[in-house]
Amino acid sequence: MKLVLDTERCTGCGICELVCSAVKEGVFNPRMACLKIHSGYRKGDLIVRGEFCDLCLECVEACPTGAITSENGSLSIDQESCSECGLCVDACPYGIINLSSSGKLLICDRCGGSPECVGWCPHEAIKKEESAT
Amino acid sequence: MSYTGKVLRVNLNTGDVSREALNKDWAEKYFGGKGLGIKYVYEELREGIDPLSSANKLILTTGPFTGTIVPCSGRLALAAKSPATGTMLDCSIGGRFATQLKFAGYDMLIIEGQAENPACLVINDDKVEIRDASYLWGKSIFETESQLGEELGRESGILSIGTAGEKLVSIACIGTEYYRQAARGGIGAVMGSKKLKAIVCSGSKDVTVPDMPGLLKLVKRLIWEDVLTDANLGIYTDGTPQIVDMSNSAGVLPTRNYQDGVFEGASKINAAAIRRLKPRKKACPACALGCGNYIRIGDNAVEGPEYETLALVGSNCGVDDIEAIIKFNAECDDVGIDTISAGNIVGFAMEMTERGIKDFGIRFGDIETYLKMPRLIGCQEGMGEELSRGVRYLAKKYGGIEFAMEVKGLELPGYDPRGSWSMGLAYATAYRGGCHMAGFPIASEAFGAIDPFTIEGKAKLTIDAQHYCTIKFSLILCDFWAISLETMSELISCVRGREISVAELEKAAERIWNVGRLFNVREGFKSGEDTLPDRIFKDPLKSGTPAGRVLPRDQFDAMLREYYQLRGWDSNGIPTPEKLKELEM
Repeated sequence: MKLVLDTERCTGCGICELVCSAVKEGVFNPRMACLKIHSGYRKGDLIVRGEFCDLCLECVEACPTGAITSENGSLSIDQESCSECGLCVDACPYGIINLSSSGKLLICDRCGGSPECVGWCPHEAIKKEESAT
Repeated sequence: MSYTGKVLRVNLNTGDVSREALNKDWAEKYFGGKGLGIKYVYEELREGIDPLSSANKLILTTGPFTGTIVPCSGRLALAAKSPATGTMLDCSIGGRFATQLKFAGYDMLIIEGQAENPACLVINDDKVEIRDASYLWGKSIFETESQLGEELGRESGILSIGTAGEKLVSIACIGTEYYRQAARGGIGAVMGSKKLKAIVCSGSKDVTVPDMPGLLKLVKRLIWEDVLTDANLGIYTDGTPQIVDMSNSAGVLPTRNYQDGVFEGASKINAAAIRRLKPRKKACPACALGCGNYIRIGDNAVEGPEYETLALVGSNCGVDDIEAIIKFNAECDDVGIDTISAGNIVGFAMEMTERGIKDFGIRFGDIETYLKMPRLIGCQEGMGEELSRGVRYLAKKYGGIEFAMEVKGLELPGYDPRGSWSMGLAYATAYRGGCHMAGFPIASEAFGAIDPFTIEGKAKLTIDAQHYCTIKFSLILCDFWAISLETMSELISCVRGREISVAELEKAAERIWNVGRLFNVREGFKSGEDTLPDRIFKDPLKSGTPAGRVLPRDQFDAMLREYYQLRGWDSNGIPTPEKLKELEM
């Protein structure tokens, strides 16, 4: 499953980031979110951009303990095997893998098939796209 | 609790940066935002200080919902003594600064003293620096923000002032994210007097609540059942420009310096006119609505124009050219002045000129001269130097006092009290002067079902409206969510982890209102200053429903007396010891 952003509909409210950190880590912290919305003015233009896990698998390759796996169109993490080394955090090209303050690795696991960011978006700007892989 | 429990205090005289515990008792009784901010101002400022001296403080306050997923909770309150009025002043501003301050670990930021050289305060979690900002001094808000975003990250919250704030203009605003402002009462001049060009804040810490699953469940229901309703969504589809038609129909749309309440060009500056410009939508953090109408025409961009700008900069100046209004608006945002006061000043100068009392060289509808005004006023150049001092000053010096549309020195917003008598009382009693954000009784009166031309029940209506706004902006929630007190109670109880009833919220609102009043009483304000411009009492409106109407002075006086009584204040408008005891003050 892929997540895509309709930049015309997105208002940049960041509710998706807040709900992500809330359900994954029990705190509000956009920096811990497994997606990133950029919405702001640059040179007099409103620029909106979203970064989502697109299963590039750089994190899977970087993980020395095999804690991150990819199956059925989603990543999953085995927290037991995770050594909190942070290599995946550095490897993620979008900066959306995070180690929480409690040491838990946060990755986009699509919330088990119903992503909270999609369900909470007030303007239906984040959409799911089922991919073949 | 969702507070960080920490206050960051920065002294620009000494360069000292300190952290202290949030006063828990005050946080319990005043919540945050407006209430907590003005409580600190009341307690920390000495009586009679010069608002532009180092003794004034600029106090930035978040609230119990800031940083959480509670809808419409992204705003910041700013409080100080007003250089425009000498009263208590609090403003609020959208954008991401408030949430960044909370994520950096602070509930409040208190700025004291005055820097010797232009300074920029940079907050990055625990790291707080006062940097030199000489290279930014003289730059506009757009230039300043653009440069700081480049240097320190565009995801930061940035507050800055333009030339007007640097020059201590009494209508100077503070801007953020280019197109949003804390505009009224000269809050930008307070920042300018501190030689503080900008504050940049970036935070990476967690914000926690006692019952996360409970809050998520509550908020998810509220977003779809209470926020994204047809009634609220007008703010998303059209934003505040939808008020133009409402005001024009009610005959309260300020036209040519309040000479009329119906504008023949209203259909050129209303929501439909704005819609044709195809605005893009921009929201503050955690806002499910998104009121920002981003419009760009050529070199000029705005989020808006908001209703107040359309009214004061548009109809009040006899201007129905939407592109000209947008340009005027963008110039105000960039040079850093309040559009409400600017529109009033220009409208006043136009009437003075047309009546031959004083020739300011500008007449109603003269767009060419009008478009020069924001820079002249903001930079205090040419006739702008006089105009920048505000309508009250101009009327005292040159005449026209009967149509100087201000209360306590603050120029009036866009609802004519002759067509909404409760709004007249709301302006007269708002502690920061002529202001529509302190209470908005017109919503249920001239815009609702209540007769606007009677004083019957208006004191109570106004007090209820003031308490509603007061608690809402203390919690701190955005005006544009028409939330009930019951829902506020549900949310704050969930976030506080203990039941807080509607009655408790109402009592807090009254307490906060009295803090504002006590400040003004301490500053020597008398009951006689709870009044309105002469035009409202004497000069009948010409068109629409209120045609031929004034707000008769004796009726106003009776309404004000009843207001004092209901508030538990004496006949001079001073809170009685019994009332203060009842409010645990």
